[in-house]
Amino acid sequence: MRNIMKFKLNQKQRNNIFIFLMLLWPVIHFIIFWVYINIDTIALTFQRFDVFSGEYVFYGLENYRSMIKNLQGYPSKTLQYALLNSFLFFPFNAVLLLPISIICAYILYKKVPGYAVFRIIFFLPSIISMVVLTMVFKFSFDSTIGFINPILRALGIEKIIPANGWFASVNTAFPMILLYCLWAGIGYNVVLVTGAMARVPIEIIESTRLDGIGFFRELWSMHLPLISSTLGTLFILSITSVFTVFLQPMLLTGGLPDDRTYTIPYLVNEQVKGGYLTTAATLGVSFSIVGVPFVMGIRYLIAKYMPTYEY
Amino acid sequence: MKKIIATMMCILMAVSALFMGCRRENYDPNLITIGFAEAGYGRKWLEDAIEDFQDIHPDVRFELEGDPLITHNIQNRLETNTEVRDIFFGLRFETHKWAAMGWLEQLDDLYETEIENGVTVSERLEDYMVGYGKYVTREGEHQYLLPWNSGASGIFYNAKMFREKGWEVPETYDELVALCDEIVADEVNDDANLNNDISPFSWGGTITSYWDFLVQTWWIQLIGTDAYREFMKFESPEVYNPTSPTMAALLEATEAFENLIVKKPQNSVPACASKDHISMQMDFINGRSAMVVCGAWLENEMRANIPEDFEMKLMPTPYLENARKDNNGEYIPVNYTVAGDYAIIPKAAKNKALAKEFLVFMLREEQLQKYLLTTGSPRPFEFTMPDISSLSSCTQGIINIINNSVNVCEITNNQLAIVGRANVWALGDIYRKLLTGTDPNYTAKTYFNEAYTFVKNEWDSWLVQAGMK
Repeated sequence: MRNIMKFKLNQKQRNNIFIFLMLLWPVIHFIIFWVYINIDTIALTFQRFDVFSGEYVFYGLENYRSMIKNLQGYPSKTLQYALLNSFLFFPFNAVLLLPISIICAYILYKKVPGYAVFRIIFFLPSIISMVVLTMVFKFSFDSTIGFINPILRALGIEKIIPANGWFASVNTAFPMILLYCLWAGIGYNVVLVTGAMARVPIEIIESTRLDGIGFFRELWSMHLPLISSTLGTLFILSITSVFTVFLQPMLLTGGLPDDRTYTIPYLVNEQVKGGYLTTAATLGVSFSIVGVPFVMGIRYLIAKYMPTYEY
Repeated sequence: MKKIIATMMCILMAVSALFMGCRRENYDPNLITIGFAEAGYGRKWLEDAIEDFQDIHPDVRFELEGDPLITHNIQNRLETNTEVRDIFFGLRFETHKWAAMGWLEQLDDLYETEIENGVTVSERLEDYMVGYGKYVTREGEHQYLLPWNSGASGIFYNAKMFREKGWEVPETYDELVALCDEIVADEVNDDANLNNDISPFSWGGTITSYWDFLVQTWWIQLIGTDAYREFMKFESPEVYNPTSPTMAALLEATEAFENLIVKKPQNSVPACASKDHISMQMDFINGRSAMVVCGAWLENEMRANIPEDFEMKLMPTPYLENARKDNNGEYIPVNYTVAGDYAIIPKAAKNKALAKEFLVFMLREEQLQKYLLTTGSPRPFEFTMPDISSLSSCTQGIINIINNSVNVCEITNNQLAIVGRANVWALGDIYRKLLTGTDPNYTAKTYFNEAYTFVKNEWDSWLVQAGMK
């Protein structure tokens, strides 16, 4: 009996074991799927695949040299376009998509006439598969089966229809991707913003109304500050899209014209699909080196200027 | 409470570990598992073969996994040794890496196995597929793939429209040019109604590589298969010299395409550059274009959407003026097969011997005939043609083209090609540049000159990347 008592754990030990067990699984997961994968990816950037031995062998900085050549536009400007397009998604999301989403969300929140219909219109693209959605979007602008071009012809403005179509002309291809992202992206933001607006205490709203605040003044001076933490989150998410947008250009333009609508994630995806893992890893790691400080900086600014209000 | 949670966690982890350990199924010596790309050819061909095999081996059972996207999952499965089937039937892919990594069973013995009447697999294999899937790895030079499908490619035309309009199927390039002019000048294109317009071709800007089915066929018409195979060895940067006979011929073929399509936008449905393969094919079956360049899978792929009275056919690729002729002065027909689908047996497969036996069984004369009649596509092995009158006129035409042409498959075991550096188009898809590029002064000749300079500059680097230097 005394021996058994010897092994009895005290409360602190029991707590430690409990914490250890609780953390064990996520830590293992983190080590395998984050630490190992990232270290392996970085290692890949210094290697090449040897077709004889079937092994990855040391290749020095050649992958980086090759990437820098690509950045200089050799043999094509694809990487330059991809870099520019990827970073364009940040101002697009921050300056265009987010403000429009806020306005739409506010309209729904204020229950203007027809708001239920608008809610469906805004939200429908968010629940349909992107493959289907891009197909519908693309077919709408098709030269033979689309309905947009006949409307433009009927309005007498057929001159604006590009000769190579909307998705392969220099002036329209990338804007079409942005238009699609706007159409399909509003719904998600609207749901989050209306949710945040609905949580604003009714007492505050009533007091501002007693002060005779107007429709837009209420949005600008009351709602936006009070939901700033949600907006901050959406802002951060809009930055991460710089690193994730690849399906939209892949399904809509396929990089056309002249590879001008590539994004970095799309390019990485293409490299992986083609089996060029070392090239993809080099691109991904380099892009992260540039992108991570950018994201961290924005996060810092958001935390500083968009504080969370308790109510 | 904590004790309970901790106990539950421990149990959960133990059960997880237990299940992970139990994932390996019990070995059954009479079970063959097959994963296959269930795409345009369906699964009946495989079910029929299994049924016939089981007549001889009633004790053998099969497990089938049909998945249209299995090709892209095979690598992960081989790498992680999970859900590895005894046989995988996959679509064209970079398979050399799998062999190099030691994931594939060597099939040399299978190729030397007798199928029937003293004929071995290698003897039955069509000449144009010899060398396909024969890779040099650290294991030496071995055969790792067994060809699955063959096929045909080129210009499909709307046969009913041709009949109604009185258009003749062109036999030469000049006749093709004249036909396009005739189609453009057709009365339906003169009225104000744009919805009834007919253009000679529809194509998709996102799949411009389909033009290879035409241009590479023209190229091989000009140089013959020996020179084509010689080029695919990529022995020096000089193979890209635009003044070399082989490259000059490729330039001639490309310029024929340039003159037909790039310089004559009226020969295409408006704004084809913005189309993908679906809208391209929709234009064809909706009668908006008279012709489309595609592979033999077109009819199967569009089957669900093809109108009842629609009739398509594949025409023998019209000959360029300088195409090679035989001793009788007749042009030599060429078919760019787009073959490359394969069967593999993973090294980690459980029933390799039985899997090989089944693959050899599928190469029996009777099985090859059944396969053709079920799928409408022949396998690249020699066999007596069965009666194909039950097949669609399109499929019959395709089979006739395969039977009456010099068939070519893009086979190269060159390391520069394997590492993705050397290929016919050194600067990437030329058609994409010509059809959707933004520089109006960019021509095929520009591309060829730039490609030659690029290859000369990069050759040494390529050799290093391929482990050849």
